[in-house]
Amino acid sequence: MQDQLTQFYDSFQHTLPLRQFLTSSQPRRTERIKAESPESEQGIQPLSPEEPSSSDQDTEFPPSSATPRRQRPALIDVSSVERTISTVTGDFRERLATYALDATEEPRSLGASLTPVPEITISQSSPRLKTRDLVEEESSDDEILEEPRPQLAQVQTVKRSIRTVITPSQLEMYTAPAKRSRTGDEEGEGQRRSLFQRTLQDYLRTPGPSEGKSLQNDSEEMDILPAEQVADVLAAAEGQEEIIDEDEDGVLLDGEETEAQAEDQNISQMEEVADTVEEEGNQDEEIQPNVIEEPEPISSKPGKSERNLFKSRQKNAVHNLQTASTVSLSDIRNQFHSLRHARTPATQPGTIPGKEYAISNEKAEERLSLTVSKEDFSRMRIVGQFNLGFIIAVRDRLENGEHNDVEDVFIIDQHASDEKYNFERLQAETVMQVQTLARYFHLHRYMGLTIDRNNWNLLRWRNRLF
Amino acid sequence: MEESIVLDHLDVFKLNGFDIRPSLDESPGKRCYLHAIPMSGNTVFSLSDLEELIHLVQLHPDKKSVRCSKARAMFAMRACRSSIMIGKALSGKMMEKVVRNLGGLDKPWSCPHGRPTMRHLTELGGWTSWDEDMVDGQIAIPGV
Repeated sequence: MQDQLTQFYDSFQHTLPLRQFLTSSQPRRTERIKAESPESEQGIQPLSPEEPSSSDQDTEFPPSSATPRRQRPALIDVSSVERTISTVTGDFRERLATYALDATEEPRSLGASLTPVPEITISQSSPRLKTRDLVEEESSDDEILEEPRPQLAQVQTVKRSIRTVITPSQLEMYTAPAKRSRTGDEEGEGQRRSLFQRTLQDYLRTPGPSEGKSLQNDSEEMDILPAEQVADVLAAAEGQEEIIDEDEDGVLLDGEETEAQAEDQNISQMEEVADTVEEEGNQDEEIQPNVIEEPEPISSKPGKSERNLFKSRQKNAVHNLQTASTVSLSDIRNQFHSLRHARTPATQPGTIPGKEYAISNEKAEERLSLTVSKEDFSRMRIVGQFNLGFIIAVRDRLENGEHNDVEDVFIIDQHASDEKYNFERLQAETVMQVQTLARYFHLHRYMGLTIDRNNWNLLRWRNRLF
Repeated sequence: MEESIVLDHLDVFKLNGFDIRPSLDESPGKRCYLHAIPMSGNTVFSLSDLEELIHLVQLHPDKKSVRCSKARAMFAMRACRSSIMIGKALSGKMMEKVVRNLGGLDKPWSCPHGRPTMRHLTELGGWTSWDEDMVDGQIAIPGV
């Protein structure tokens, strides 16, 4: 782990100049996007003010510090990006939609979209596009990042950085298809490292929700897609990207490791996200992206972003709570089962078979008086005190006046026994104080009444007496 | 009849605070005069307690200490407050004393509130310790 961390930091040092360069170039990019689609301004502008400060923070690895940054822009972008999508050229949109499908299944669609190969694979799942508009839109947000860029030929450096960031995650996804569900986080982690990556992330985050939804609704479809195909596509995409990114390969390698690290940390988060999406079910489509994004800041870091979230959408606060509980429930269940498995063998050897411990008081007394005589108390060997409340004593059993090998262990309640002793002593020794009556009472009437008359008369007499 | 019981166990009643003095001059059935009733703290005894006491003496004529229920409750309370509390660390001597005291009791099995004083935990019959490293009664040290 430490090695990974150090490597991660090293990678930062390498990438830092590049990042700075990117930051300087980014405003340019936003401008261009603006020019293309005026509506996109809202979404992209908020990102730029944050960038300078974030470059400093990037050196800090912990995801908690990075999440707030990530999140705010992401929230804004979801809506704005969708708008931009609508405005962006139609053919792109179609392509994007197809990619979006792919993205829902495998987040690396970013890389894949660059290559023509992914499109072919996506065609299989294309029917899904029409059935689910939401998936299309959200996933297409992903594509927007890439699509506008090809048009902007001048910003090639930007493109490269994006690819470099994405490829590691893609690689991981290919290597470990089981982790698909977490890919959204992988992407997010990768982008933390550089400013530009962050901006990417904003776009990428939108696919996150779409992924979650696809997990929920299209779980079967996901399974349908053969893993080999995906791997082939990815491999192709990697090949292309590697060629493009020759100079930045070193950075990429580092990125892989760091992302792997980050992925582990965020696995739980991503699972939460998935759960929330499942619970959401038929809720409004607009709300979904927000809901999905919320659990991450909560789990990672409570801060400004979180406060903003709650302010802006108090509706969703409930969902946050739900996510926490659902995740823990399954975890708890699993752990409980494992614990039970682990515990049963341990307890068994310690138990003494054939002894009933829940016997009634009378029965126990009977048995005790049978097994223990009063003289035994003088023969008992004191072992010690237990729990500051009981005395453990051992008495070897006498059978026919001979010492036996068997010893009996008794537990004696120190309070009860001493109380009994004190009680009997009090009873035997105490002479009650006497209150002499002012005038002696002739008992014969009283006694006669108790014998001859009923209690009512008795009462009357008593009243007369006192 | 009750008069005869009382006259036979005058000491018991005296112990319980009922001062009953017989006057042999009177005819049978009128010989007992109650001169004092017991009193202890806030507890007040009445003739009903004397009645109960007479009944108990009738049931257990040989018992030295017969107490009415009211007195029993009072004693139990006092004994409970004055005895060793749970949570107190006992020295070996104290524990020994407590256990030996149990031997001299009339009914050592349960405390006046009904709580059992002792229980049988287990028996250490034929207990054999782990002896796999023992060879001929000596601990075998591997490699030697």
